Amino acid sequence: MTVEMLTTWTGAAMTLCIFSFLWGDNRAFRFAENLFVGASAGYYASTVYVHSVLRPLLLARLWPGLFGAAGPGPVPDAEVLFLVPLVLGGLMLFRLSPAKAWLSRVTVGFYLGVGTGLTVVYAVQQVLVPQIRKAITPLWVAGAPWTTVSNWIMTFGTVACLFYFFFSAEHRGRLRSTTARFGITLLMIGFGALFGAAVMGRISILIGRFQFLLSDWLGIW
Amino acid sequence: MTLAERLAGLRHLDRRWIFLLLALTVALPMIRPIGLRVVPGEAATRFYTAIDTLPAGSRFMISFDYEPGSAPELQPTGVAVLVHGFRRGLKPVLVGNWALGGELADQALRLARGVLRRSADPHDREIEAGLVDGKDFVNLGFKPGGVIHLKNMAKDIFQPYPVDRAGRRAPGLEIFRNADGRGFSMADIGLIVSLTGGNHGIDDYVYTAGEHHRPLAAACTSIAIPRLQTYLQTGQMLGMAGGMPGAAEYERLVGIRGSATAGIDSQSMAHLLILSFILLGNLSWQAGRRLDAASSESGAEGERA
Repeated sequence: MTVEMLTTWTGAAMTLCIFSFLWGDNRAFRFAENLFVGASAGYYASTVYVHSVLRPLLLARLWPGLFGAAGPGPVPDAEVLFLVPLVLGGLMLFRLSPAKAWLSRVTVGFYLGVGTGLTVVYAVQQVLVPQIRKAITPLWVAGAPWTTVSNWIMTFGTVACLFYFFFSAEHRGRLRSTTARFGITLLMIGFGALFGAAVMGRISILIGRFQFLLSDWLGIW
Repeated sequence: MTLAERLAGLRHLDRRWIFLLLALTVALPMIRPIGLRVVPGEAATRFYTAIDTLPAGSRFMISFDYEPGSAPELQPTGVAVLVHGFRRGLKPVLVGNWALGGELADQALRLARGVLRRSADPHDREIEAGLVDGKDFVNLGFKPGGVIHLKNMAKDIFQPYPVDRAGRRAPGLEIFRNADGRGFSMADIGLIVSLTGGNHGIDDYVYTAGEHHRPLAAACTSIAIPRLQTYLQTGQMLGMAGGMPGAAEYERLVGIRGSATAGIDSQSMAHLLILSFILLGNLSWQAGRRLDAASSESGAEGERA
């Protein structure tokens, strides 16, 4: 039995174990579930993080002669600034000690601060502003009736959806209630599209598994 | 038993019948294909054109930002884009913002080379035989950090990627050599394609567009289509292949029959089945409500009598 065959048979067996949950909870399902969690954690920790991140991005920068890539050319100088991420990363290990766990908050705070700050700026610059700009469209386009209708739906649809979430004034009176109702109708259409897309995605995953079982494993397709 | 009673009885149907029907609906079209047509849409065609119009010899980036769970929807596009790129003489630089992105990029490369190797066109086989790792393509692997990582990459691509996935020093690889002797930078990347399975995909590339200044295109999972469509409308993305149907459209444009095209029959049949479930479910609920109302009325009359 080759390694490839062994991999395929193991994959097929695990897929069937997971599918068995559709019949009801059972030991085979729980075995596959636990194996998946354990194997994933081990794989991420060793192969992915140590090999792809910790070694080339941190250890090789601090000790290039020891951990740097082999190849022609001089060994680069050590970058002392990388002691900062080393210390910050080391602080995270204090989460294992209940008494000293507070030290890890320094790292979490640093990461959250930088991440949130950047994301807020980028979200405004690259999402909010372009979307607002796109929502400003001419309500009359000569010779293009469908574009005109589309622009009306988009402009008033945006206003109506935003108005539905405006809670400082009650949705009473003909204008307010009609606008809010139009808004919620559009939102429902949007949720319908999202649900349809979610169904399509889940079916695609099922198709992927069936392709694996029927083609790679059984070879009947 | 009346039709209404039969319909109402569906409310108590064992859900395992539904699972069985769905499994058969997905499996049977694979064993005996129906051959439904795949017609490329505007978004996929624009995506194809974005790659097709890159000058031969251009380096372009494919970011594998997903994990095996989303592979049925995204891996076929990755393979088709690689085949398309190799045929056009482009040089793909593969990266991954998701932990298993590097592995999936390797797998996509193997599959794309397999497509070219088995092609009936001798030119495809010739292209495949001439491909050299580090010269015609490179896999730089996974790096974490999301927008922070991309910001860093926009300044200097070799800062987050000092070595490629095979452990070779990245700046020394031939693919990163410019004819005029300039150092390689993001400006030399003709297009960024993100295969997006969730966070840290095309959104992060759009967020940092003001720094890398590169045109963008994406393939995404089905559930992300409505959200990412907005980037197409604003012109922040040149094209998009959404879900398995989008991947099948791209395969059709490239002229290969991959796993997405093979799955389209099953996908369409499963959608029809789910539509009929929704219809039957609603009819059953209506019928059950009427029968319940009728029986409670007759019960009340009986008590009065």
